[in-house]
Amino acid sequence: MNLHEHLTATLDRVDETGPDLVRLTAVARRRGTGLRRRRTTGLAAAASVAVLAMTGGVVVAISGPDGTGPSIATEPVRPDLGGATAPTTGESAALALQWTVGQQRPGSASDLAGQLSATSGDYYVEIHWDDADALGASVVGLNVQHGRGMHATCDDPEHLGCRATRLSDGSELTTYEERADVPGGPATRRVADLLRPDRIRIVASSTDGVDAEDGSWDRTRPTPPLSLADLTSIVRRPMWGDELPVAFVDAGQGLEPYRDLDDHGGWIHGPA
Amino acid sequence: MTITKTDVGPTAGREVSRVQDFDELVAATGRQLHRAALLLTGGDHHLAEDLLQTTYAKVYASWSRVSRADDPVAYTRTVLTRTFLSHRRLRRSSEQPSDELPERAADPPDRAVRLDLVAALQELSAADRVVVVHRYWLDRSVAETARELRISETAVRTRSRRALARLRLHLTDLDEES
Repeated sequence: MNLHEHLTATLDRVDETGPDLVRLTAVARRRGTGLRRRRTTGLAAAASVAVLAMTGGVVVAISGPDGTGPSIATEPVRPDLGGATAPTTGESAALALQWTVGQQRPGSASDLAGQLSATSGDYYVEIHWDDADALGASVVGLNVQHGRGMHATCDDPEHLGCRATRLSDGSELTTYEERADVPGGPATRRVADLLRPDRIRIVASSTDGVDAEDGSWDRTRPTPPLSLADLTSIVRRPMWGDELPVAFVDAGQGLEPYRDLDDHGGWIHGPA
Repeated sequence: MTITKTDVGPTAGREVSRVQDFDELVAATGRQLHRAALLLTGGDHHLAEDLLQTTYAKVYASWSRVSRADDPVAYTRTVLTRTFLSHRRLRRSSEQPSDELPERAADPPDRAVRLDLVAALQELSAADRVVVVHRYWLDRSVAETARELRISETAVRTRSRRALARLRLHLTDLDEES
């Protein structure tokens, strides 16, 4: 027997039924759509996105309430925003996201997850947010990138209700909604995308549901809980960067439960 | 109501085409690549499914590039193996060394031995295993394997020869020219 015949005989025994191609296709499409989305707002370094010139816009300044927002069910960290800082970790960024969302909306967070690139310092974190309106859970994500110059624009037809503005400090802000036609969907995501003068890009998003176990979209609520103004307040917080207030970093050490997306979805980082 | 192309618009039309073409690719390659993933992951169905899903997710995410490739199936094979190797790198600290294969008696080619073939593959280095899967499961030539894995043909031959020598310890009836 040659090796192919040996392998075939072996596989006939360990793989009698074969893959569920229908499910495989559906899940791969959904994950692929998510990857595409993350390539424009996320960590996938291979993406090449043409940066289109921003058109002039109305200057808006939306200030977030610093530390005076409504209380939330789970708020383990009380940071000193003007105090000492320490290098950002995935855990600390997830806690910082949880805290900032809690400053905008009453509710509670669970399933903290994230990833941080040791080389670029970029990070992506997300939480499941159960808003106090009790309409259903949402995935709130935050992505921080350094120096790539990429930034969402309103030239993309998939950016619904898009508004691009140049802020008084020179930052460029784009807010929009997008909808994806996925099983269980359509899924809606609101996004605020800020490119600061220091070339750090911060993207915050909120969805109208969560991923279901079978890979489909579980649309839990009619709209995302965070408004574009809420998301704008989050991205405009000056703390996002290489370091975070030390309270987040300290609290993030040994944080449990915390899902490391590098570990959980490690396959994602291969080239494609 | 019948939906015409005008109704769905050019963007939606492209999306429909993308979905159909992608589904056809999965239908044509899914079973073979699933088995390749099983061989790469040591027969772990969960890992194999995750590897395959991730591979197709990447392919779908890059569909405009994949669909323009000379051979989208070859592109998909490359994504599969590179994703596998990338994952192995991430988990490098937990890998077991595989320089030495334990001596073992020659068993008859029964069911146990066939299942042992999966275990024997696991004892190869990840890079050697990828070459074996390309050459002897996916039936790629030396040149095709080299091109898809982006290594030299000499490296393909060397890895193949080394891997076969080890597998022969388990498969006494393995043809010389495998």
